[in-house]
Amino acid sequence: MMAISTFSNQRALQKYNTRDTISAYALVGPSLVLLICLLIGPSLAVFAISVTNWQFGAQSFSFIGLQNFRELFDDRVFLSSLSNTFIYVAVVVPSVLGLGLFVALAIESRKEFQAFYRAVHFLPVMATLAAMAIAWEALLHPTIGLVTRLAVQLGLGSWNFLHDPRLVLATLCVIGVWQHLGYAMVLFLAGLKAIPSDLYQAAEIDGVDHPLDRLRYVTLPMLGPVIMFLLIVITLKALETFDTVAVLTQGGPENASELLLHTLYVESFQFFRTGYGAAMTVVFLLIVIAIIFLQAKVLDKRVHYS
Amino acid sequence: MANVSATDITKIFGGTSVLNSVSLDVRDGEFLTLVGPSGCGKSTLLRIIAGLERQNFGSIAIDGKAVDAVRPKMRNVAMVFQSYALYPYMTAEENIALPLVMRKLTAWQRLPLIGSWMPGARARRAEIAREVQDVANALGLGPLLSRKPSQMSGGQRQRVALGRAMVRHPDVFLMDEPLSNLDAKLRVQMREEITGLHRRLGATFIYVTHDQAEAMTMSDRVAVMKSGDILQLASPQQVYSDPENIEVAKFIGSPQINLIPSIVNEKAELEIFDMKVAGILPASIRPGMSVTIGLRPEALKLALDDSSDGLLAHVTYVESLGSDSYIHAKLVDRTTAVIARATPAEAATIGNGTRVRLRFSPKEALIFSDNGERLRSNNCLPILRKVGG
Repeated sequence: MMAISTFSNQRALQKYNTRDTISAYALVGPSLVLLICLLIGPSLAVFAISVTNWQFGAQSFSFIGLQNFRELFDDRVFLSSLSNTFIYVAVVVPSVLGLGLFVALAIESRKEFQAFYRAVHFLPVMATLAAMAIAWEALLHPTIGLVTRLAVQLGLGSWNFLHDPRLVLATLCVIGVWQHLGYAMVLFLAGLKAIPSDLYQAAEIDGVDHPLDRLRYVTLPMLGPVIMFLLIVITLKALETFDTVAVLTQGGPENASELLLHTLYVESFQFFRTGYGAAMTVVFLLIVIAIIFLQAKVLDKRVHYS
Repeated sequence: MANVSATDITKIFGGTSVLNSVSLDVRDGEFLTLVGPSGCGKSTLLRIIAGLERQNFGSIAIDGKAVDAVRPKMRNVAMVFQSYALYPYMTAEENIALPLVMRKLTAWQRLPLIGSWMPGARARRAEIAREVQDVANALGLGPLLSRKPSQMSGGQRQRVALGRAMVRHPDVFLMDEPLSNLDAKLRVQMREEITGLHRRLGATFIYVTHDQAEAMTMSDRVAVMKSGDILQLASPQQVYSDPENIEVAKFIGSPQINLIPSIVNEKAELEIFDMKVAGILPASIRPGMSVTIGLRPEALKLALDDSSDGLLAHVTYVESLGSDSYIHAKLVDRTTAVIARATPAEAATIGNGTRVRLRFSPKEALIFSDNGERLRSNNCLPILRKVGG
């Protein structure tokens, strides 16, 4: 009797387990399909196209191995685009994080006009960058631009921010910082609000009462997860900067403002060298993955998640 | 070692007064507890002593020196918070070491990476590590030093917080409800540990709690606070058996003191429903006045209905705790609820609805005037004294 009931219990249990497994697959299914269609599939297609000489619209193409990649590293435009992109990321990401934290701390330290300052700094994040880029163009115009005229008035000489090869990348960097600052600020503000005031008070009694010490021993470690997140997101956003280049400079003058995504777009969709563009995309993807992986690997160990 | 004195401390938050000119003298090496319901101002007073909050009026002195303009870290006080306020990203060791790191190392020696190459830094660091180890051993934290707070239990975190307070040998320990996040069993254990610590260190402890059991068991003296005033400052035994105020009597003691309304008759006797008590009233009390009689549950003795004296009551509920039983009953007006303590043997003879007599010795009755002041049989009502001249 006993044995039979145990046996039938086992059967029932097995049935439940099977049902659980089926429903688990059913739940994962839709997102798995989407992931394959929208992400993994296209990525594989890009890898495949990158080893061909296909041109957009062409009837035929042939396998050319790593020819595209070899060509890439002899391509002066690509190489300067690559180095410009690295410089751009190296300037924009730390500036956005540093300034974002600074602005957030400044807003947090005063009770007045908090909402106003928050909104003002967040505006660029919500605005369409292509439209904003035109506003920037007007501001930076070599003869009638407000900023240029101001520089002249202040006796700083005449500047051609968007057409001087020595200045153009720096100008794009400034616009990039302006664009992402609000996003970093809002996340930092949220992070600051989540730090319990007890901790600052305990620190004060422990002797941590210089503002810099407070920053080092309490604020920054408590913001660790936010910093980690922002570092990755802002790096990604900086890597894929496109609108400002396309609207303001088209990569010129002398490729001085060429950034990877713009170069890639020009090769693929203006010159229709799809195979070559795909090879560039592969390099771009590998860079993105490498950077994110490195950041996650190095920083995750040092970040405290509560 | 230091005494702490607060003189006429007033604190106003946005128009409401949280502390009304409170004065308090804590003796050197004393364990003093501030106890009271939430919102009574006890934590604010502690934080003013710590220097985390600034009073609007009044002065704080530690060891005889006014510290009103002194920053918290220079007051030589340590504080343990209710939330422990441990740095979650630091190990237990780093948590305990931080007060020493901030005091013993120069800003140069604390610099990341190059700090340890500064002259003298290594020797100081080694010294700090030794002191941290000593404190950890004293608290039984040795094996946990490399863990972060998230990897520790509540009791262990509590000990780390204590260690962080102890490590720099402060004159005064301030504790803000340090045990209220622990479970009941651990709380009793930590109660013992903290009193043991107080004895060992001999430092002055100021301890804030809303738990009267903690106040009663741990302190040398208890300050009972309510609505920004200290109602009574006395030994635990005294606040229990000799409260100066009905609020103190109500707050201290569990189950709560029984409060029974009563009238003074023409013969200067107390009339409590059908019972009359003579000879315990202050001489100057006027007939016709209503007073409140306070009787602790253990002051009420159970007798059966047929006995001649005592308050008539109907038992509503018998609560058995094993060693003791609490008899819940209603008096003859059917609204005044009282609780009497009885032995299990006594409790076994009665059940819900049983009519009993509750007897008490008149000298155990605490008499309070309508405004809550205690009326002692050998002194008179303050108000009446004023009226009388």
